[in-house]
Amino acid sequence: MSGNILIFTILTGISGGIITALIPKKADKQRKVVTLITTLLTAVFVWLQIPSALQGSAPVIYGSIGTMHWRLQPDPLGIIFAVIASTLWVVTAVYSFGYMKHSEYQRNFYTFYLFSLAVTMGIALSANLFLLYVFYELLTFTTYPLVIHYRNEESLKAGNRYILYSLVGAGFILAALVTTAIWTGGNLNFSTVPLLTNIGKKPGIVFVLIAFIIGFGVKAAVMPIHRWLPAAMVAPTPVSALLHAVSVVYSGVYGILRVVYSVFGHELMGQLNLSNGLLLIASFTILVGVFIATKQDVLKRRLAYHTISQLSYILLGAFTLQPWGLTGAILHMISYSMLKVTLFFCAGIIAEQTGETKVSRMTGVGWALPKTMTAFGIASLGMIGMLPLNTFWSKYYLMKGSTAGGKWPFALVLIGSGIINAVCFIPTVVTAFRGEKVRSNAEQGGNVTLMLAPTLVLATAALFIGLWPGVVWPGVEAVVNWFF
Amino acid sequence: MAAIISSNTPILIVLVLLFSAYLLPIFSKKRYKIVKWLTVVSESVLVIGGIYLAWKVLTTGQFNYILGGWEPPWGLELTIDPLSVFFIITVGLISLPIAIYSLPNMACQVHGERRAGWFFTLFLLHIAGLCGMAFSRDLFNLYVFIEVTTISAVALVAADNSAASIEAAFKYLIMATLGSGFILAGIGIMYIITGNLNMIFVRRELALVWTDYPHALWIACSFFLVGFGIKSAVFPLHSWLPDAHSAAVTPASALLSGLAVKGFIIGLIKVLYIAIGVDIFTALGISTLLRILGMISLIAGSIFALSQHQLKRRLAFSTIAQLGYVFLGLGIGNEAAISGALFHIISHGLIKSVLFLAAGSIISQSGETEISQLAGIGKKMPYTMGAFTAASLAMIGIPLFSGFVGKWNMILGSLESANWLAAIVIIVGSLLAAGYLLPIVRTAYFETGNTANIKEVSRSQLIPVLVLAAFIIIFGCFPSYILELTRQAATMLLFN
Repeated sequence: MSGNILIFTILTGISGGIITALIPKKADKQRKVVTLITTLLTAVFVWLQIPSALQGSAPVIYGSIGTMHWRLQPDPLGIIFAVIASTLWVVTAVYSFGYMKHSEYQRNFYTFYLFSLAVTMGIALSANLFLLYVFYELLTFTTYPLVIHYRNEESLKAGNRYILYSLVGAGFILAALVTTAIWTGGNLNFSTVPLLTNIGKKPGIVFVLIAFIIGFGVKAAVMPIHRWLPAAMVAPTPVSALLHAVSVVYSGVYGILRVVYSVFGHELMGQLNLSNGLLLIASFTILVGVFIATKQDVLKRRLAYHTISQLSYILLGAFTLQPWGLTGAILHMISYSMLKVTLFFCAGIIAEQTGETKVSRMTGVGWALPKTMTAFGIASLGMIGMLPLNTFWSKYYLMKGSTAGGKWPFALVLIGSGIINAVCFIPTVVTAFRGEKVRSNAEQGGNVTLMLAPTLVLATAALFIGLWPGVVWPGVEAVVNWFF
Repeated sequence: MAAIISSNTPILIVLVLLFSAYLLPIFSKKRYKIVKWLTVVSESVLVIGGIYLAWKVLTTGQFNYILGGWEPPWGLELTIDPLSVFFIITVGLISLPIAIYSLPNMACQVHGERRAGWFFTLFLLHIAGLCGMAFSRDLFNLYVFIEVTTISAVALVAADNSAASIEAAFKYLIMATLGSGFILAGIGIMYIITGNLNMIFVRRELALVWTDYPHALWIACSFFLVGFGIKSAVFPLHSWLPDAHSAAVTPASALLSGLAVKGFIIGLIKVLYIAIGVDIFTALGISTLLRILGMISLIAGSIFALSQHQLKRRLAFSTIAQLGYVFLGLGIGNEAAISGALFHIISHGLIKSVLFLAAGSIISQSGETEISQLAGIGKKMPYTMGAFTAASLAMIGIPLFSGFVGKWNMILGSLESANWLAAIVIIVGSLLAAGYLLPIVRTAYFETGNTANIKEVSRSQLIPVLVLAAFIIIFGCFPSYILELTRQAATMLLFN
């Protein structure tokens, strides 16, 4: 396979977006067809690259912008992110056909939906820190119109905050990036050897690491720089589900993984002695995030704070600098994304079909939406880390990573977080199935089917991976072997 | 014939512009069409000549053109080096679309075709002055072109004869004349010290004798700094710019903000780097001064821009901030920073002319000058606002837009010389740019307002803006050629 497939992967989204923008306003059907084809094509292109990328022999394409070189080539970590994102993009596209049916500004929505897909693919496939930064910066602007979709005062405010946080973060990354470029003589290509290996403990290197982590940490919603994320929940549910539970926030997490393992490398990170501090920040975010989540009554806000908490699971695994910890982090990246999208989809269906957005008012919703609430229940169990679900495995390896590095207190953090997660979600599910069956079944009609099908598919997939984790194991193993 | 043209291209560019400038008034009364054609043709000569000279410099290296066969130090000499061809290309690329934009409705903006003819006379004189400044290698020659540029700029501001623009032009005239005085005094001191006006000879002399006249030289340098500083609106000397650039007719605003102020920076670069020499003025502490002035302009200009509610005034203040980048890059003074600063000159020229022309179109179509009243205009004027958005993103320094390349090189330069403060100021400047530009874009696209009767501008005014916007993206994605020119210019300034 030549490098053209990489270009196709990115160009598909861009051209799909342009076509969507050109389709007249009224032609909703054609727009949906284009959206579906574009997302499917992108996903197919990405899936085709899995075997070669896992072996480390993926096609490559490179060039330069002025004095800066860029390079596209998926390595195991990149391809895993690309697969997660592109697959969920297809699923969410189907869901939004149902959810957005009566919404205004649909052309705007689908156009930027596809642009964001292209940019996210760019982040995942770039094998170069400079290119990663370019796409990371562009992602802010392609997702902004989605955040402010409803264009009321609240969403414009949330959009402002999103732009502000993202641009400040990008500024930090830029400073760190330029310093890295000076140290490495302009070579920013990722390989199995981390970029700064030969630089060693240079004065100021700690600041570079911190600047990178602040910069990417903004999108990864690490506390205390998380506040844009709950605000961004004013966006339509498909956006909240896909962007604010997976792709945008994952681009931040992915950036941190890249910085830790491809730029600094676990050996240099170990020498810098920052691991404990970073683990503490991650643990703080995990516990406080989920704790605040239990206090939220609005379901989407609860899910948002829960996202903040869960993203730091991945970071915790990465910061242990242990192979098992990284295994857990990658597994959690895969597993968590499915469950969280399921939860958001359910929240969207509940809000659309019953009009309820607050947990305290959801008594009996389960009788009206039995399938939805079953999916919600499955995903809730997953968030606690129960066995038949995929997150059990990720949590298991995260704990193994913590104890392997002699940092067992962080394993306790994970157990504690699991308990708070139970407090957070089990009562919601119980409430939904309590009370009398006053509400009539609201799971009928084409719209609901379009929303329900992706939800159930994801919940089933999560169960499947929980029972047969071997399906994703080759990918996880390849990442760990790549970096260790 | 072809040989004569190709060997005399530098002087022909200036002469064609000057001659057609003075021919225009003849035709403006009866044959306005000829005015249009002549303007476009002489502008095209500039663009083609600029590209030809750039090609020549990139392939065979820099050369000098001796005027009339009189060898220096007696005769005049034009220099065709990376710096001058870079600026000629900048001037050509930016002024041609501005001229095309202004041709169709200039007569109605300045009240009558006769006045429009005079407007284009000034326009071409101004361009000729800028080109002359870029080419000249003689201090007095430089001064002459500075005066041509200044006076024509002042008159351009006053073109529409409204009270506001006359007042702004008068303010500009007084400040700019003061600046010219300083520059002339500085040139006088240099002449007294060295007995030469040709920059190369001046520098050779200075290298021998400057330790005998440190104070005189210091005074000369500060005169240059203040003189050029007024003309290029560095922060404490900027007070004329917001009025002049916002009160002028749209094409004049675009021209002045996009090009004129940069011409004077090129003048300053020539005097400091070629006539005085980088070692001497660094030893005198001028670099530090440039750095400080740059940072203050950047931050103060951005903050002033944030507090403006009128579209054109906000853009005018943003010019002050963006020129701060150029001063800062020059002050850092290594190869990466200087080439970044020069790249920022062309990129900001493109960006600011797009912004001003788009703003002009919006104001003429909607009649609104306040930013808050632009709600919903993005739907009615999608192409104009699209160009405006691209220019805004470029100004913030989003990758793949031209603004990023210059900023990247300046940050690279500042971190190479371990100047953390400068890097931080550059990044904060981008954030402030986002703060004063993105709200305009957001209001135009995502808020709803009464826009029932607003239509997109005519094609002849739309295409130049789109072409300029396309160049922003082209230079952002493929900056190699321009970057090579600016890099060579930086090497020439530092090591020659």
